[in-house]
Amino acid sequence: MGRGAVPGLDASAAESLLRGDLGHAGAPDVLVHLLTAATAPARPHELDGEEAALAAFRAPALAPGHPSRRRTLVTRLLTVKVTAAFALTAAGGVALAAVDALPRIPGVSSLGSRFGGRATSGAGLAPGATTSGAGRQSASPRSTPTPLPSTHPSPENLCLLLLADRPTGPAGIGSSGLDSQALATLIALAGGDPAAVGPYCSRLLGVPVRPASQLPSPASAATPANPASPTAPLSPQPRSASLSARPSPSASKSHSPRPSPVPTSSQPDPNAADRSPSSTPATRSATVSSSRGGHR
Amino acid sequence: MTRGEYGQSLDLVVCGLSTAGATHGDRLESDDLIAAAQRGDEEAFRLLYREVQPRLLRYLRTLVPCDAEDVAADVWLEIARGIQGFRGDVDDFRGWAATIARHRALDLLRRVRRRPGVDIPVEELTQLAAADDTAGGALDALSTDTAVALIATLPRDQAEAVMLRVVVGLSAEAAGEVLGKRPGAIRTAAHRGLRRLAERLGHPDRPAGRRRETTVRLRKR
Repeated sequence: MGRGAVPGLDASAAESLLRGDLGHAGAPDVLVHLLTAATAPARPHELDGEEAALAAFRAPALAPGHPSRRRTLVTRLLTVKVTAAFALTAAGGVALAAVDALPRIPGVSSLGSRFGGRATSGAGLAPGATTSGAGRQSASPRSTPTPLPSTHPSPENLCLLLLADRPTGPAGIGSSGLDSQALATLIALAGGDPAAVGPYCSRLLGVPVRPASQLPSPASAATPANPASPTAPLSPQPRSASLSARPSPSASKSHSPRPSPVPTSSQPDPNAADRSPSSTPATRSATVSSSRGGHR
Repeated sequence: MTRGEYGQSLDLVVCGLSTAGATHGDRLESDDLIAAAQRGDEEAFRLLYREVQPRLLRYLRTLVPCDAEDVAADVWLEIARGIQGFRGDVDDFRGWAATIARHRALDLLRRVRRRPGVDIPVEELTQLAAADDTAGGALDALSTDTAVALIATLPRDQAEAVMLRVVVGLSAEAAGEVLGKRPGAIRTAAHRGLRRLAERLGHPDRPAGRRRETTVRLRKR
């Protein structure tokens, strides 16, 4: 270990240091100290990510699609409920029209109360309908004069439909499952501009749809129901009635047959888009488990 | 020398002395650990994490000092997803993890450099180095962060070679695989790096007798 360029560090000393043999004779103390410090025990903050790593380990198949998976679930639930609501609404509307729609406009509210008009529905998933149902029953005596387009769902439901059926992104408006009449209504509600539909709906529903507390209050949900617009499809009673008429289990049951008040011809895609992300983790976990078996 | 001895020092340290790993430290049977983790054993994965994460983090600090934690978190996501397909022992596992970490870090560096006006990490490193010069007299008290930062002031190929070999615990061959170089090139870079570090630290050149005492003491352990 002469005083060369670097005293005390010949090739073998360097190599033993690199192997982690920090006690090798001939290695300069400074280097030993340095490398000892560099390989010191783990300090607690270095392991801060442990739980996150374990969480990823627990659900490796889900980890990549976590956000999208959550979104898919919400979307699918919405689709189920809203589709069921739509179907029932349409049926109720037809029934209403058949029974005594025109002569007895106040009968709308009576029908609503006959079905209870309760605010069950989406239990937080579709709280727009919930709040409107509750709010409107009390408001019904005030003679909402426009039950005419009773086959249309409320703006909230239209928005939920749009949300549920939209494949991804705003580009899907045109190809969504809404029939053209409903879509036109929605656009009209939004002020005549298709581009305004998204903001309108997000304003109406509140962006995070899940927690009911974050959603518009009954009052605000009722705002689009201003009597100024006669074309506004404001016949909430049959709708909330039908929503509440069916307990939610039936709504989820109706998922597989998937009632199609919406033109099915134009929308196989949204369905596929709904399911494919969730099928990916499934297949992945299948492969995972098979490779597990293979490994053993 | 078997491959297993490369990571020995940190194994003992991490799993033997740290409170977190104390109960499991004596059973770090590498192949069992990997196999158990692949069967879904969470504790095995936890031990792997504790064994590898500090090394990865320190290695990443030499590449992306300010984003090492974030990159490491991404690395573990990828490890969690890919561990089923992994084949090898714990040494290979360290190499695999280091490879992922390096890719992630270099991706980040590319992204950062593309943006104008963002500090180039190398400059941050030299600043750290300047700060470390003051610590030269108190080497005994060198903190891990300072030590890693000092190594990070080396030219990157040397810093990586030193970190991969000493801290991550890879052989020259394994480090070469991570870096896409031949083992000989790794050795050269690592030796140069060590020499440069010794120069930079002022090589107090302690009396040989004392050094040997230390050596003997360490060997007895």
